[in-house]
Amino acid sequence: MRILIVEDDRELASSLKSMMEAAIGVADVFETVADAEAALLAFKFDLVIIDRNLPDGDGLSLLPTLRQLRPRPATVVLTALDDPIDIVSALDKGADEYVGKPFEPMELIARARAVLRRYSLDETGCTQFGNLSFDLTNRSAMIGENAMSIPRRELAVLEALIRRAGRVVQRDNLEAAVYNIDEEIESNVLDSHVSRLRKRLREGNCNATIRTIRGIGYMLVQE
Amino acid sequence: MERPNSIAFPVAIVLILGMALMMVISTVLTVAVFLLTDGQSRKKIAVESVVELLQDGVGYDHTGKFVLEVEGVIAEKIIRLSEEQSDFWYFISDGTQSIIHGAVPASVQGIIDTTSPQVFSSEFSYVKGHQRFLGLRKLNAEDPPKLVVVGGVSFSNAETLLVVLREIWPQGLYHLLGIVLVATATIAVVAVKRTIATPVRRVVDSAEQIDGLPNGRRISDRDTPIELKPMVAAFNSALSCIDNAFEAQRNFLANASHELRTPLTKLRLKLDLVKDPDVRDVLVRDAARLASIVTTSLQLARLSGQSLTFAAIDLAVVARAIIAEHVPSAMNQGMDIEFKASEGRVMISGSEPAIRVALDNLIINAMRHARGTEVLVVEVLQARIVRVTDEGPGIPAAEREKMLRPFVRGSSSASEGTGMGLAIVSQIMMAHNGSVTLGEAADGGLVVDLAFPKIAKEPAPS
Repeated sequence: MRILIVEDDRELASSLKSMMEAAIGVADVFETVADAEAALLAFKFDLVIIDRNLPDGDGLSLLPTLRQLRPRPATVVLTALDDPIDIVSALDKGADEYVGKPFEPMELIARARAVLRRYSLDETGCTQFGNLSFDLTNRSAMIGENAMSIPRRELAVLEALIRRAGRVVQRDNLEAAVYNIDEEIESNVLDSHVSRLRKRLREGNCNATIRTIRGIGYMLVQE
Repeated sequence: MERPNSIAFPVAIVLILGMALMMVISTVLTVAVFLLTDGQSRKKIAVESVVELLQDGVGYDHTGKFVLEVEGVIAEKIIRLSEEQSDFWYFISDGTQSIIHGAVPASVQGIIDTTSPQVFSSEFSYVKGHQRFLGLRKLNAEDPPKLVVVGGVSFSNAETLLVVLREIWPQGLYHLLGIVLVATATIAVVAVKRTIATPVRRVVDSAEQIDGLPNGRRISDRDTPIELKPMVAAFNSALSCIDNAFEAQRNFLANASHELRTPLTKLRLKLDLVKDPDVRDVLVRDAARLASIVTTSLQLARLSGQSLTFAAIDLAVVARAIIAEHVPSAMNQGMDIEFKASEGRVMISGSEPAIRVALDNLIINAMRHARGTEVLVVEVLQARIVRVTDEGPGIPAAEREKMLRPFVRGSSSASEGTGMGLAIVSQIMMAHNGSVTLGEAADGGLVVDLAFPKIAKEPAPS
């Protein structure tokens, strides 16, 4: 994994760099929008962490460039501005994740990982969560080295959950991912898919499991 | 009763008064011009009027005595004016009794005596000294017929005017004019409403489109009538001032945010380098509290400085989405969040970002103060209430009220509380015309109810 950090505060940048290198992969630091843009065009990065207030402008001005890159790096915007209008504008312009300063180091790492997982699923069709790996192109899941045999519906449930692993997937969204509009959904069908899937994961000694969040939905967590 | 503050009402009053005044002035002028240009007619009018007054005024008292009693202010005035003149005289008779005033000239006495009772009205001129006077003899049709003869009347122009106005006063012309007046006033009220109120209404409609977003709409200048343009311009420039102030405040908050949070972030990241875990944990908690104070202070400043944009929202959907985001961090500290919503939609009029801030604060508070407990329950009730119930120590009844004020922390609260969370929640609920109620759960935990008012009108189903 290669990470680009755009941050003009040197102390913060070096903390971020060591933090990301310990958790995710090698990181390069640039202090200005212009330098970052040049680096993005010259090298391939998997993750870009952008601060907003930079000496030569708003870090969000990098988003159009980022959108045109193929493959497109995952983008996390760091900001001291947590005005709802600012958050919406950052997400609208194509940021994948938005982390407000000050943040817990674990929080930033978890969000960055989640974004990367989503990207790898979109780009390569494969992603990993704990010892569970998921291959979208072959419609298969593996626990460690062992392939799981999963029926179509349960695979769709797993896909929706792994896309947002570590975060709650609302019941409505999960139903929408598993069934098409015309299909009649009986109230407890989803629950039985989930419980069968949960059993499969447990029996395969998977360290990821599905938690029920009462009244809201389900969440894939690592034990 | 308070008079309604209307444009049409005073305009109509002014119109009515103006028209009435015009009618009086034009009548007086017409009469005056007529009198000034024709001396003979003037005299005739005066004498005729006096005869008529006298004829109306004579009668019998309870003893059967023939008496003269003129009624009415103006009539009395006219008779008095006449009686003040030295040449004035009258002779009234019913055949048996008579009333005489002044000296009846000898030449006229002959006319009175000799005129046949078959002649009911006769006009004559006579000379007294060097002056020529008009006399009038009238016999009415009563039984017995009353004879009135008058002479020597010489009124000034003004006095004649008085006589004439009295003469024409009760006549139909004025009734007709009255009707015209009322009709005009009614038309005026309606017309004024149409011509003034309608363009004003258009401007108001345009003003109602203004949504309160920064650099939002202005009242359109195109449909505005010239008379209202200064008002619209002033209104628009006031909106611009508000926008500028809003923008300045936003910039200030953004700068303050940045200046405060970047060093806090650095501080927090550096703390991970502290080797001794005991020291590190304390410092991390202090840093978290500092960060939380900064965040909530800025939230409070932002909320008090801007008006919220309201929309119809389903409280259950919004709350569920907000709660979902807190589940992972609650789970990290071993707490489950349970969400309960009643069947069907719970529609309110509110600002989703503001409600998010309020709920975020409530949940973070609960996670902080009920640390170590297992379940946090968030309910959305059909009565437009969001209820957050924790299993923590709760807040003593005596302290609940003041907890809603900024920088007040509960006596039992953990050290990282900011004392701002509930103040922000309270501010947000106030902006929604709702309320915050702190209570006690069955097992002693804190129950916070956010109650939203009934939506004014149900949005049309789309």
